[in-house]
Amino acid sequence: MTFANPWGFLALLGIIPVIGLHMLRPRRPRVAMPSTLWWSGEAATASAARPWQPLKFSWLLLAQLLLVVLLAVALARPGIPRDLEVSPHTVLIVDTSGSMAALDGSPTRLDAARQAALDLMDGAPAETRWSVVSAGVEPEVLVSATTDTDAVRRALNGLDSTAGAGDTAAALDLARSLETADLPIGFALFTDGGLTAEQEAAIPAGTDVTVVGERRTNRAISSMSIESTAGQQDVRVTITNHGSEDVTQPIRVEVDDVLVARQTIRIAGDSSRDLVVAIPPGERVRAVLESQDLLEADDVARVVGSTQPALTVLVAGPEDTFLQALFAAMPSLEVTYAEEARPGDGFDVAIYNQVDVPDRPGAPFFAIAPPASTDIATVAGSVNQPIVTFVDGQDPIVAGLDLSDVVIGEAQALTPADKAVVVLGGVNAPLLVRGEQGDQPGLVLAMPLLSTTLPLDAVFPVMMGRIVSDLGSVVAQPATLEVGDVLPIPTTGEQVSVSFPDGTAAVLNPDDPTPIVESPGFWGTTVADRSLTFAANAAGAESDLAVRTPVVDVAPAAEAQKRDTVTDQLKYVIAALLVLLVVEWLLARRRIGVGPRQWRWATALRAAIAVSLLLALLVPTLTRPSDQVATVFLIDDSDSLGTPGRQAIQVWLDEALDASHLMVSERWSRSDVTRRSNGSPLLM
Amino acid sequence: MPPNSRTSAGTVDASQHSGVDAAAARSAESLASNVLIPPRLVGALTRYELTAPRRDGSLGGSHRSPRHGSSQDFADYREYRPGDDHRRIDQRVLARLDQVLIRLHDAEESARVRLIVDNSASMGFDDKAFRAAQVAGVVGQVALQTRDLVEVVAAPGAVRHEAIGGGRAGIPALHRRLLATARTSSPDGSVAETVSLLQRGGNKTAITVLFSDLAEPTWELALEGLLGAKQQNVLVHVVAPFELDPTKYPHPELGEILTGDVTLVDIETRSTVEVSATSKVLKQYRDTFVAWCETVAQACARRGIRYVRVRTDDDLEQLALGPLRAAAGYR
Repeated sequence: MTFANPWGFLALLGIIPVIGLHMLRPRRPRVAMPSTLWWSGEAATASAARPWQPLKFSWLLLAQLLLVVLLAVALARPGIPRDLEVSPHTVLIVDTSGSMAALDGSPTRLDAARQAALDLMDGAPAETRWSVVSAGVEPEVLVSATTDTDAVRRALNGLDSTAGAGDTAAALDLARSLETADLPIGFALFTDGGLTAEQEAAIPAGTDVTVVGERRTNRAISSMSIESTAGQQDVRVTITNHGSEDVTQPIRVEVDDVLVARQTIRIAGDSSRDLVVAIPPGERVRAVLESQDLLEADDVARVVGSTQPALTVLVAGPEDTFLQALFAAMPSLEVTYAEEARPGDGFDVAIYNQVDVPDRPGAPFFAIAPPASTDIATVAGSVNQPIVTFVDGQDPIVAGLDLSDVVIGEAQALTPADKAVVVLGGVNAPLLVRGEQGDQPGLVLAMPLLSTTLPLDAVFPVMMGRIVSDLGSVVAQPATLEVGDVLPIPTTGEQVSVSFPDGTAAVLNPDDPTPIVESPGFWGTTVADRSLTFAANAAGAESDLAVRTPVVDVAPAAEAQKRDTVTDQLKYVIAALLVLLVVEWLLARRRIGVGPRQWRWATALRAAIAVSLLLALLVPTLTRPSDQVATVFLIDDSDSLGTPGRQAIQVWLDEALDASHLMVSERWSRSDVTRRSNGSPLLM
Repeated sequence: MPPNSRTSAGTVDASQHSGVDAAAARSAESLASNVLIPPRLVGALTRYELTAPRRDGSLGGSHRSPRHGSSQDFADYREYRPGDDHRRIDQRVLARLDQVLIRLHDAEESARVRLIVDNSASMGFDDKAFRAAQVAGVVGQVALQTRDLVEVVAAPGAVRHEAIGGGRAGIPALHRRLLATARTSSPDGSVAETVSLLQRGGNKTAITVLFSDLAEPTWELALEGLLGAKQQNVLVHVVAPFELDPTKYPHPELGEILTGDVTLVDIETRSTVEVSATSKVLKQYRDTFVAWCETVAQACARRGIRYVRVRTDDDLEQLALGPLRAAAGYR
């Protein structure tokens, strides 16, 4: 037992007046008698002249002493140290990746995780602050450091799993960012495991990990692609059995919602089997596993047929495995390979890989480490191991791409031409330059693909797709997308109409952020009468439902913080005080020698004490409106924000500050504080 | 305080407890009435006469006595009653009218009946003073009807008045005197002293009746004082129901059963006693008081004093025609 306010025990001094009152001789009413001769034997022995009498035991005295003691204990705010399961500020990180939709939970794994989080809340003190972070495709902070458990429950109940892979590492980064200076923070991760080593390493030490899910038996369409040979179009469907037992799996293939084939195949345990089906021309090809298993999202896969108009690309230069593999996965491209450099007349895009760029390229071009200088940049020697330090956030080719992990061995030392623009660069080492040669737009990359880890990075296909689409003014259509991927949007500077799988559509302006594929299905984009269809499938990594408990380091400090938590016992003391007050009142009623007026005052005093105790128990709050609340806006005002970003922020601020007159803002770039009157622009 | 209210020397300070005066006030309500005895009872008592013997051996008034009076002057007849001297029967009337009548003579000596009424402060409790006056009125009326002289004495203080005579015609004067006695509280003093003083003085009193609650430590001396001369002595012991059993009867002042820690105030001596009026304590008091009453009765018996206990809530008519008649000796 601990006491938050030991000074409260000073109230024990109240014992003195209580005892004094009991030692004080009560004032007795005077009653007339014809004679007191026959009462002498019954008279009290104490002398009436003395106001004091020896202290005698009485239940009333005991009750009143107990009242004083309990009152002192209540004022001292008693509490019991508990080895709690939660920290004073606990961040609930819930995995909402595709595998959390598996039906081996209650009924899903996400439901089981949600219930585990709610159970954790039920056993926590009321003063615990809660934050909720969803670890899905796009990690998000749903609730931040609040004691409003209803809001936390609403956030947990609103969680839904996506069909994509969860970005647990980013979610944990978000969770860490919620730490406040006033309270120790703790983390509770609810997941079905399956984390990568990198993700596991990102788990903070001392994190309570609750693993949900039991089984791993699942069948999934792990890949689906179109193979075109000599006018024949086949669809290759790969079905993987993640269970240890052999299964018989019926499967059907549809093209534009017309059933093309239905077959039943037998798949051995922990193995995959391909199914190739000849299909008629059509745009939307779908394969469906017809039997029910743990995860529904990966039982359907989609691919776009070959009706799309092909983008012609000339690739000149020595054979390059990376480029070949990349373009093979982009069926919408019609690629022609040539060893020697030649003008790209007749092609939509020409790629010159480590060969000279013709003086008149004949088509928009992308030069990879050209031996000779171009009109875009002059080659002057080489640079060893340049580090990417500059990314032009406004250039559609590299906008939003994380290139910090790209390692470069040796690169050409480029000197950009006057009108050329550096898109990507290191310290005094332009790495990607945009310009023109022979009336054709072009891009020059300073290093061969073999000299960098760029082809191995996840951003490579995106970046290459953007280069092709940027130069060809169309979108290079990938074979399939996964939930969580960025939807390829043409960078023509025009409005784009996006159609979603549920049939709805939206128009995106050039400055709007690029949408993320949030659900499986057929997505569509339309730019200047050129429409493209994209097939989005569930993330293949989520089909493996094996439950693995991540290894988390134990943080002794965090454990100690939890044990330091004290559960307030005041409500129990107040309840006992109320009961004792009633008992004391009943005992006092039996007392004699108290005048009616004195008794009325005593009863009123007891009633006041009882009301005060009830108020202390109920902890009423008085809510009143206030104009003293300050809102601080932290605005990223760096150059990477760009003019459109600033405009968007200004619009948002104007809407947010519509009713206010003053604002204080902190700008990252200058770290100044701005005070403005309503209506005056902040960022302009 | 109203002029006709009984003033009590034993009344405690009103500022200390206003209820102490309440008993006196209620008693005053009774005393405020000019009717001491209901007329119906006055009528019912007209056929009674005292039968007590005379101290000096003469026939007092019309008392039934084995001895003759000295006067030969015929005064009146009355009906024969058992115990009358057969020689006083008028044989002529018996022969002529066949009626047994006793001859009365004017020259007979009138006996004196002394009524000592305790009007101390304690008698102000629960109308005891009024009840004492009523009972004294009954005895006095019978005495007057016996053609005795009735002397009313207030005690303490021995305030004596001229004896009332004149037979039945003296009844109104008797009532007025008793009411006046009951309305006035005597100064501080002892009933025993008054009784002793009266009896030592010597007189021709045939009957002395003391009406008192004997609520004083020297109560036994009062009984001794009555024995000063050869006469018939009677003690009418006036008590309140609350005094007899406080567990059953409410305190006349409080209107409820006495309970709790209280300070009892002796309205005569003003002395106080602190009592926790629990049921056990009240029962102990009741037993003590009843035992004391028995002690008083036994003390009277030992001294040849007739004893009758009168409660303030007794029916006066039943009392007058019952226990009081037997004790005072009238029929």
